Amino acid sequence: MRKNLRTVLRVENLRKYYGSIKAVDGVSFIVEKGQLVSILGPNGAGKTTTIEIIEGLRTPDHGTIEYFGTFNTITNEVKERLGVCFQENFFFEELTVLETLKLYSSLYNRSLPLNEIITMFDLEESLKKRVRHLSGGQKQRLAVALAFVNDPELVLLDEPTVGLDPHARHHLWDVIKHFKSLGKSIILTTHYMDEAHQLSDMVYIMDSGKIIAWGSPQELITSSGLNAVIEFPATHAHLFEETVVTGDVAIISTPDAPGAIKRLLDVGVENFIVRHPTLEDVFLKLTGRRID
Amino acid sequence: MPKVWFGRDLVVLDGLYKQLFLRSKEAIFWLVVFPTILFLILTSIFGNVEQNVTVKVAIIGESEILERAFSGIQQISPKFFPYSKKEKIKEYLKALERETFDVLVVLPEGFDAIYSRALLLRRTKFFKPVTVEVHYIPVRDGSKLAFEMVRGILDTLDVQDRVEMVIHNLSTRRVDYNNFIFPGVVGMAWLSVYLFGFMNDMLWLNRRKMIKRLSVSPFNLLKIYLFVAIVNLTSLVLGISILTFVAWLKGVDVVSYLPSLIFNSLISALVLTFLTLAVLVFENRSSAIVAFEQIFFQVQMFAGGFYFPLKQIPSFVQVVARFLPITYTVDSVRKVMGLNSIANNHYLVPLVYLLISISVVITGMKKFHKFEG
Repeated sequence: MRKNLRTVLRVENLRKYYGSIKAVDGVSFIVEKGQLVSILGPNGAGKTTTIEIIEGLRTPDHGTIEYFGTFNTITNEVKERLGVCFQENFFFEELTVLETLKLYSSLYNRSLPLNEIITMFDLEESLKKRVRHLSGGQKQRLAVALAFVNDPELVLLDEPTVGLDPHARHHLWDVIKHFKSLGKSIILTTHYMDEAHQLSDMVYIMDSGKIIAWGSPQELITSSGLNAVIEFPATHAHLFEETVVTGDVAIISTPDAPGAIKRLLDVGVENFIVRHPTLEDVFLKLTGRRID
Repeated sequence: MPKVWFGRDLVVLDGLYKQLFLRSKEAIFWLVVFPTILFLILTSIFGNVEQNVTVKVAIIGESEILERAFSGIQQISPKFFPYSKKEKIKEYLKALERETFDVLVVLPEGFDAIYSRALLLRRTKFFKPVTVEVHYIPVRDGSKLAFEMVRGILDTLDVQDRVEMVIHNLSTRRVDYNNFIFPGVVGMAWLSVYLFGFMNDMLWLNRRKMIKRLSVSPFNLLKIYLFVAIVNLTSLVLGISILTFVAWLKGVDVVSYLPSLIFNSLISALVLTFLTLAVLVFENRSSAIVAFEQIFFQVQMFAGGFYFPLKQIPSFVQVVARFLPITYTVDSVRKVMGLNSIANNHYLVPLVYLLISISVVITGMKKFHKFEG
């Protein structure tokens, strides 16, 4: 088989079982150079386990991983070219931000100029602060900054925007887009649909250890066959056959939106929303439940 | 251009120094300051501890007269041994050095008869004084006290003219409880640094997932462990330096102790480093580690003869002490002053600990790196 020189990661038929629990069950995907791939799924879907197998922290029961078209195991050379941000933050909390950046930079042969990282992640003001005095958002920014400190070719970001306020999230999205524009390949796990939609070239939707759908965000929406989506009170769910109820809200996707609206108005329902389908609706259609 | 490895290592070591030592108030207090405070407390409380103890007197030769004289004094525990030739006496002298006895009295053969004859002929030209040899170690408070008591008893027999006392001083160095306790507190510092310093640092790195975070980089984890050991060794050196200075101010002969102190510190550091790693290979739950630290620390400190001579503790505890590695290294430091309780083979038990621990670490270190769960 001819190798694609643009492929930086190829994962094939990855499996990881813990007793009867199938944490990862036959996962395959590829990441091309300069591509941002999102793995989207609820908690417990197997996203972190997949990422940790790629990072070399867990051993798969089955399957292969090929890094940068050359390596079949995670060697130091591979680690040199990988950037990692864990789901949880782990720091030497008594060090300052600058000392932390220097320390992590020293773990690698290659590194980006620290000034560039500091500016990019908006860390100037907290440089002399000890990490333990940082806010949750500042810590998260630092954690993501550390993933880029070695000028990696492939970056693994595991839920990098959890706990950030909307402003900080959008800032981080801009930074990620910037690195993507520099030709970095990025794998992002998230359960935020808008994040996956905004940033991703490819989205792999994962549930119960399996990838249940994949494609670009638009491809996923289009191929799902979803039309207009109408949300209305769950008390009137009986009005339509293919209604999905989540909490107090009933959701339908219909090619005949005017007809559906008329039926709702006829029975006196006026508090409804009509919108375009999103990745969340795709997930809802595939699994019958919301992602959270 | 690749970075120079030496520079990279220094940055990582510097980070670990700041995190684990320089910016940790607990580490500074417990590992550096506390040993000195403990030394000051112990020397204040137990400085005169030997004044009230029973002294052990070994008497070679037979004498009903002396037996009767000694029997009236509760603080003296005399033990009579059959008359020996000069060669045999050397063994008794070694026992005296090992503190099996506090004082050794060598009577001439047929002491009672010679003494009675001297008593009868004291005013005649046929009078010959009785010669009694008394061996003691004046630098030891207990031995000195025992000697004074024996001399007092001989005085009560009114033997001033008739008994010639030949006094043998086995050592001329000045020594007191401060000299005795100093190696014990150093031993406590070794234990503190490695059980509560190194072990907790390693546990912290593992449980706070720092090992996990660092393991996704190409940096060698063994270097991280080595650096953590170096950080703790530095705190040990600093702690012992301050302690040694204060001990010197308190009159401890630290100059004599120093070579042995340095050597035994390195041996103890090596043994405790690998023992710590071996324990962490088996167990990394905080609760279990804390239990191990406390039990090992307390047993080693109190049963290991750190604060009191081994011979003064109950025999079953002495048996326990013989299985503890730091008992030997502390005793080895004391040997410089002749204050040791163990005669020889000071490094056999520590070596056994070291070899077993190294084997466990080599075969099981991967378990410590296991992040799956």
